[in-house]
Amino acid sequence: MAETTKLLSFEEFRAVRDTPLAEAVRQARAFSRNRAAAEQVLRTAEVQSLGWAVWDGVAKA
Amino acid sequence: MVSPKPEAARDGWLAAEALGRIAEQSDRDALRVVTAFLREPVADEPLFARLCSRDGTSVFTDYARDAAAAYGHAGAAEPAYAVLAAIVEGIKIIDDIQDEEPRSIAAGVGVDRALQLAMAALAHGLELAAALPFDAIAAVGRGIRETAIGQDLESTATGDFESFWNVVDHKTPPLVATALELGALAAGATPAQAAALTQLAVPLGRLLQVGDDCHDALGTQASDWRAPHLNLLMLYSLSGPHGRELATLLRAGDDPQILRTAQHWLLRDGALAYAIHAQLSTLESFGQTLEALDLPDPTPFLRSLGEHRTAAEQLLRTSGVQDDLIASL
Repeated sequence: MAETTKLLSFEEFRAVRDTPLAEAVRQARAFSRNRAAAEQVLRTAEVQSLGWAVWDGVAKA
Repeated sequence: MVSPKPEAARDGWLAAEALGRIAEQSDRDALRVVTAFLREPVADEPLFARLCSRDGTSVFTDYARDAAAAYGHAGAAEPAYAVLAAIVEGIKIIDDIQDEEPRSIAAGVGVDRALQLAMAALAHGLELAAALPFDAIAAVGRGIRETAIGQDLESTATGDFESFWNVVDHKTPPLVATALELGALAAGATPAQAAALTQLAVPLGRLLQVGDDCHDALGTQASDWRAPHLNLLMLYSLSGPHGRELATLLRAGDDPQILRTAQHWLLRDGALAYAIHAQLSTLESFGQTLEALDLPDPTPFLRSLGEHRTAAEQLLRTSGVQDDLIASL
């Protein structure tokens, strides 16, 4: 968990190398080059984020 | 239909800030006069009645419930739900004007009327707070005032990392803090205990904002592309090596195909990966703050922490990241 303790700046995040975080980012970016896989990621992110949304999902209905 | 005018939102935030300050500093009689004055112009409108009748749950009522549960009585927070609902309605009306949201009250009734409705909703929330069996007015007033100040900061955002988090940390946490405070007070926590609990507001606010930004950047109804410097994922990509390419694409219009391509580019650039990193980092901070608070029963917040963590892991898994790697993040 130590690697995620600090919120990295954009530049720091882009510069990470030779760590689990860097490898995870590499895998995610490589995976998304497949358009069908990327579509699945987008759908998952949208569905999940509905539960986190503040203003756009204010009322849970 | 009338297009909302974002500059009018400034008037709304200034008025909300003043109302919050009055609530914090004035006696109940003075506040009663002010809230009645603000309600009067729309008191007979069916739309205002509908706004006031929305007492459903939201993320904010969840926090009030969890705070009350942490002090042993989850149900004690229920009378505060209508307060939070009214305040959220008022703030959302002004926020929609600021964001030029096409599906909004301002788009339907015009900006001036919408601002009257927003102030009336905030006044209604304060009147409900005054009727609660514990002293809630200061917490509600502070939530309104600080949210208004934070929301207005958006207009001065400079589109960089520090500015982004400065806006986030001032925009959403104040109302989270109010919800936590109301829940704790309702369950019998002392004012000092309730105030201490608001330390969770910043990490919780960050979690909400990152979730909101994922939704507003990646969803089929994505709306933040009109102001990309205020969205974490878009700002990440726009400030990166392919930023100019993305900006050029966005200038080509808001055709659904263009937006979908832009969304794919966010994934390609690692913007979603960065958002998940921000979530995981914030979750850790949330857990540390929670532990230091030493609550009578931290279970509700631990459950929320676990749900967020599970969701982030699921998104990583869907994104093609191997399980053993996810466990190490």
